Amino acid sequence: MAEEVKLFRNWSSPYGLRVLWALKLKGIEYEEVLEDLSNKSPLLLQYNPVYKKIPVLVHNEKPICESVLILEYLDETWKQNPLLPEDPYQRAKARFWAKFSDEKILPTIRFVALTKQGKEQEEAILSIIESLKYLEEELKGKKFFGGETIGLADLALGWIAYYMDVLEEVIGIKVIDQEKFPLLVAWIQEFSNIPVIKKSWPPRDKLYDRYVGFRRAALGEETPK
Amino acid sequence: MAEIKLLGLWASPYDRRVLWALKLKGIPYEYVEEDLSNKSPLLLQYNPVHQKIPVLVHGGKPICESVIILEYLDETWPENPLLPSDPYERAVARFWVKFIEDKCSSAWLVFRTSGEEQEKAVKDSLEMLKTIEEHALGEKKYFGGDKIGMVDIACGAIVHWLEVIEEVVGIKILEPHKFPRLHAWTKNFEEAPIIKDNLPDRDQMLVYFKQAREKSLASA
Repeated sequence: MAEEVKLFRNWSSPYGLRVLWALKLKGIEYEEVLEDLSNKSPLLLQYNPVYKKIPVLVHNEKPICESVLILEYLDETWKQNPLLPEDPYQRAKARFWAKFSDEKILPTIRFVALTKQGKEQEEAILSIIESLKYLEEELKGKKFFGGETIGLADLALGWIAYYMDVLEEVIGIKVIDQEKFPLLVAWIQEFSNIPVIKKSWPPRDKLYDRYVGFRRAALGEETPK
Repeated sequence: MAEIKLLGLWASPYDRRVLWALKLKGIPYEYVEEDLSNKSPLLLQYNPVHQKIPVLVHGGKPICESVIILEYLDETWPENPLLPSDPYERAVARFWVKFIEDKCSSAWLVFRTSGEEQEKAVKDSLEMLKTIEEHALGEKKYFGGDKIGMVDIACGAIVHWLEVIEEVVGIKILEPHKFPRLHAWTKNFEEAPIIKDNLPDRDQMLVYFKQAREKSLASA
């Protein structure tokens, strides 16, 4: 039976991007459906009725939602270029860092540092720096979070290699620097040099405008007229 | 076999999930009760990032986060599996586990807050239960089908603690007539052999959470 794989995503989301990376790294043929999140397609709403979000992977008409779960599904269904190691303890560690990215770092920068100011923003930045210190520690003796080759944790944290720079510019605060985070900076370079990754990033100026828009909208609501 | 330690807190639902999984799989372990107001050096060493329980330590190697521990247990001790073998079914199960993780904070907010904030938390909790009722359970005995699986364990902890929260705050959320499937499932789950023998003492829980709520409201 021919495998039919569809990826519903949008142009900017880091969550959608990681699924794209996994598909390309595993050489899986797929059809891409780019969604306009201000005008979601009936198909998206049908495939993800609970969250109504991208990414959604549809494999032979069966939808799988939530980016990290999609990565696990891809890894279990297509065995080439594995994203997770065999050893259960190493798998647990990879899942831990993926969770850390999505529950700690990404929300703090996207929903606090980007959209607040003053003390709240300061605390968010400090929290992000603390989190990055743990990543720096984890990279000791390793080229990637996955070891010699990239894995699930690298894909989950991969947004840092491109989006962080844009966010830093919008917020006006440099967080990742060579001096404080030499291993992380090296990882960013190695990760970004991977051909599949290099070719995939969304246009920087468009992303910058998008984040400026989020910040303005958030602060505009809070600033009294 | 390498020794297993579970660092936990008797009153934590996250800890309870791991305990249930260990018992369901018949895995022997040593339990270490933590005092979160005075965290042990062991906890800080094994979970430096979050400094939270539960932490499973297997042969000296720590695994943190209850859901990650459940996956680890399932991969290391495949008997009495918590996840189905089909990748798609596994993705569906993991989806519901994640959903519960994402949304259960509303139950904690019901417990920690009052007034308008609490009203919103109640509303959010009802939404969460509604989604599970309508989309997740179907007509099966358990989320896992005939046998208890990972979704049952994840959900069971939250629902069981919700019963205590309801009594402490005096608001009924999981009403049988509103959530017939979930209600039936709760009965099946809490009466299942190993679960039944491993539920925390209800009276102790009420005392613990009444005190915790008072502290929470006082510091608000």
